[in-house]
Amino acid sequence: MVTELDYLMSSQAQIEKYVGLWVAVVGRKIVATGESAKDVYDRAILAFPGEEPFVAKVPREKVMLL
Amino acid sequence: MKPGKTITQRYLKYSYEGETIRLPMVPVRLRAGDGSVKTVALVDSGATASFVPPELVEILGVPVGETSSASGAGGDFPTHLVEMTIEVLKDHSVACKIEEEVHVPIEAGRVPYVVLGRDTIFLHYDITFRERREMIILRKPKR
Repeated sequence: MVTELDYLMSSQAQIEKYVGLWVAVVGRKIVATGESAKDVYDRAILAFPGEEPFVAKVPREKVMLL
Repeated sequence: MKPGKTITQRYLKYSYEGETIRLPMVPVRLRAGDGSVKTVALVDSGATASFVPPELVEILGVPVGETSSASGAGGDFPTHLVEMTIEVLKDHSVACKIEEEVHVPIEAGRVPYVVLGRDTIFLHYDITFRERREMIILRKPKR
């Protein structure tokens, strides 16, 4: 069963376009992107009512230390 | 259907500015109050606490708790503490529920994703990082 994370991993070329941005995925489709997680989530819910969007940031950090 | 006890997940991998980024991540659902959101979490054996970006707490719509702080390589930074349930997902099913108080950095952008440290996911799974195979394996320990 393909999860949204699996989908993101299978489409490297796609996610590289969104480095630094939040993305919302529904099924096997990136349905919203932007700089605000809440805005991306709200747009995904509006476009796909009843679905549970997967929301993640594509980080630009090559090295991350807290 | 009840999910199996072992989760095997390939690293999230992509290129940025000529470098390849490889991150050991697992899918999770965060729940707090009436809100929930599905996202990804970095499994970080070097973190003694767990962190959730404030941007995701805004989606959950829950009030933040008391003020705290966390220490990192760049020094101390302020956080809020928030009680939430972290559901580790396997094939869209809940494989494990973790109820914990997590740190939410006050400054947006401090953490770009959920970070699960040794106070959460490491208490529920034996975890193997297969760095050369770019794969993380989470096994439920035998009792």
